[in-house]
Amino acid sequence: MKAIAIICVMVGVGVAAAFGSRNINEVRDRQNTVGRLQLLGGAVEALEAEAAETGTTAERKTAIAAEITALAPKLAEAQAAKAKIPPEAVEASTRLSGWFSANGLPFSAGVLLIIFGGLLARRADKTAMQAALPGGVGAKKDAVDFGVKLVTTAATVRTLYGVMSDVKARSVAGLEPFKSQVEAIIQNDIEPLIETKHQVIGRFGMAGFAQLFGPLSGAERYLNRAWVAMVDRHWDEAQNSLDRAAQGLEDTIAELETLKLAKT
Amino acid sequence: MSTLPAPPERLVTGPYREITIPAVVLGVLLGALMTAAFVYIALKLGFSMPGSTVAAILGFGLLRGVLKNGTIVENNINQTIASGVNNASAGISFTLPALFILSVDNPALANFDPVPFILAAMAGTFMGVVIIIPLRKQMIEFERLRFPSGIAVAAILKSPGAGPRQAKLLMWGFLIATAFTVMIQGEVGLIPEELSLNHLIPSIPEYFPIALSISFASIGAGLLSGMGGLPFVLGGILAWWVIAPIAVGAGWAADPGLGEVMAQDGWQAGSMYLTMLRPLGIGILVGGALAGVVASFPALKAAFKSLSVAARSGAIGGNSNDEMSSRVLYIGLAASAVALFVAAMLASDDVSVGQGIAMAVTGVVWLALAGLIVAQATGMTDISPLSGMALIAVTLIFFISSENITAAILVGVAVCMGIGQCGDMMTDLKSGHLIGAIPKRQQLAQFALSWIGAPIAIGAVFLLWSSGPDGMNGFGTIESGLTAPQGQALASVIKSLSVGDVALEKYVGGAAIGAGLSVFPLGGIGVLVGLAMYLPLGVTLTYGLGCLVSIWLSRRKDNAWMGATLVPIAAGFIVGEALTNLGASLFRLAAG
Repeated sequence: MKAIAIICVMVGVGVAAAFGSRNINEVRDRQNTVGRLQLLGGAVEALEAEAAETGTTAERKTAIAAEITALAPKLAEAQAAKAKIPPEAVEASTRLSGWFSANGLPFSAGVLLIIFGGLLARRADKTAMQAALPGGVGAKKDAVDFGVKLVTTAATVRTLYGVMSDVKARSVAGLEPFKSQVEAIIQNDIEPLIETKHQVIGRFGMAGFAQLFGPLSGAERYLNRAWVAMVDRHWDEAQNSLDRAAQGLEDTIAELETLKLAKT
Repeated sequence: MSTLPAPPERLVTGPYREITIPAVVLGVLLGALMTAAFVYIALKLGFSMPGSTVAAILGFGLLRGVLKNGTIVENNINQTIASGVNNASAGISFTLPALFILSVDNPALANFDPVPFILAAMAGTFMGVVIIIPLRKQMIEFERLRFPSGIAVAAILKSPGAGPRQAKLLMWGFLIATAFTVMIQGEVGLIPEELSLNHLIPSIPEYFPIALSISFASIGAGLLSGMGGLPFVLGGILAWWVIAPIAVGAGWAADPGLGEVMAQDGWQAGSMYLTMLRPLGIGILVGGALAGVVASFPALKAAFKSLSVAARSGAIGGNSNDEMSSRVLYIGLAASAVALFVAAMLASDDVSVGQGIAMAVTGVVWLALAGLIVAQATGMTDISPLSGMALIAVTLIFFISSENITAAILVGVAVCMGIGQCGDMMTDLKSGHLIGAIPKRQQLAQFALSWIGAPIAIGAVFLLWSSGPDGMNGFGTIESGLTAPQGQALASVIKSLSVGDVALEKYVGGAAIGAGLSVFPLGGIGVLVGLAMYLPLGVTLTYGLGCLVSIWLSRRKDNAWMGATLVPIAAGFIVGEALTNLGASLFRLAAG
């Protein structure tokens, strides 16, 4: 279903954009007149410049003069045509109505196809998301359950904070194992949690997702801060940031419980 | 002779250094220097440079190296301030020069007062920073946008603790990008800027480009974006490999009928880009972003709720206290709108009070939407459609102000400054997230100091203009050496607007496509497709190459490998190209 949806959108965009980009004949004719003059004028100027160059042979100069003479009537004709064009451009409202009357039907069909494809894709995504939920028919064996992962991650960070707080002999070297553990948490716990974004939207909708990912992202940012503070050899800030990260994860758990309650 | 053993490293005690005087002073100084230099570069070459990378590396050397006690988050504050101040170099040099250029043919536009422009630029800066407040949660925490440059800067900031392997990979990425970028430079010219089949096989028309731009920054951005960047590539392919040939084949594209005289397909490709694909792309960007706001309303509502909690919580212990309060957003927006109104009234005697109010309100509303678009585009691709969004602002205000060019450019300045600030602030916040910075402190630093760039950039533009013969024409001509390409482009658009040339049907049609695309369950797809139509295909395909390599690798390697290997290499690519281009530009300027 998703493939059909994508094809619909691509065809729809192609049709709508092709007819949408089309100029009305009046505008196109003006462009032709102006373009003809620009091109001919440019060609004559280029030839004149070539003739004026010091290295140009007499033979070439004669040929250039012949070419300019051949272009002269066309140039004069183009200048006359340009002079006939009224200085005011085609009015915007005329352009809009003229364009729509000539292209409105295929353009609208293209837009409708885009919308149809979009709706189809939404439906396909919803079905896939429901199936991919842990326990669903399409769930992967290693699928991460947002709630379960969240609780274990919060516990890991809280424990790490506790261990760091208990250290009596603080040293720069002593920060290194904590830094490695923070790196591991970011990579093995936070990133998989972030990747459950669509699972969370599928379960709790966009508003619920925002409710959860706000504090979760805050926790992620504080883990990054803890790592950076460790690089900067600032034990207190690193420890404080771990506490804030754990707090953010615990806030996310609380939000999750609220959402679950509201759902039941 | 024996050497003394190195003293053992000691733990650092006391408050953790974040917003400090050295970080603030260094950020302001670097930002001010970069602003003045990059205004000149932008007027000469047509593009400005982001300041984050340069500031992060210099901050690394000065704060950690010279002062010895700098922390990673302190360097993040330095880099946030410096890039925030430097944002003015793009915001001003893309817009204000148009007014000077137009004043050559229309002397009534000359001798305008710089004060309203400084006021408008500062109002835009403040608006850009405050608009980002609720979007941070939405884009960084909920949507998880990549912000490739943000990741690259974070990789630099984290390098002291990332271990020798990652440092080596970062350096390898840097060296490869540097080598290729040097070989591309005109003076060296060993390889072309773009590998194009159109040049090798002339029978392939230019409206069907088969080209790859040699840009390791684009490859790096693609590597960091992966699967999420594919719609961008498909949008570009659709525009140039499907729509363009159909338009030519069906006779929809302009055809001056000179095929027998000269190769006109280059002109045809340019015309199609400027009058068909680009305006449609801008429309798709706008429609996609608007519909995206509606689609992500629940998440945005949650972000606002969290900010309100921050406003109420004061000094309680929860992490919500790390957020800037929603009060700052509301007060900042209101104050900036008032400042923009005052600036509009001061800028021209022809602006009525009603028009001034309409301009201020439209400016603020458009800045908010365009800021969202720019932040989203930067987050997904690292490419910012700054000029296109400023163009829409100028168009809207041009008609609201009864075709008052000065007023239109004034609001264009504010919008360009604001949306640039949105992209920059969000990129810095991404770096901040990855190194655990407190967002409120970053936002506070940028809010308090970024305005400094506005008077510096405007002063630089005035100075350069008056450096010409008879105290004018210092840029905008080939003779001056500063062609001001972006200013010329905006001036030509304003000339077109003066005769009523507005591609309204493209904007409306594009917006409908963008809105339709937002139904598809992939955040920001409308912005990606629109952005692809807005850019040359060579850039899009190079970025796509990076995406494909990333997808291929992600199927063979685990997340840990991707994070520890691919990210530093990609970051090295982005940083290497940015710094080499900066060095090359400075070299050219020094060489005259």
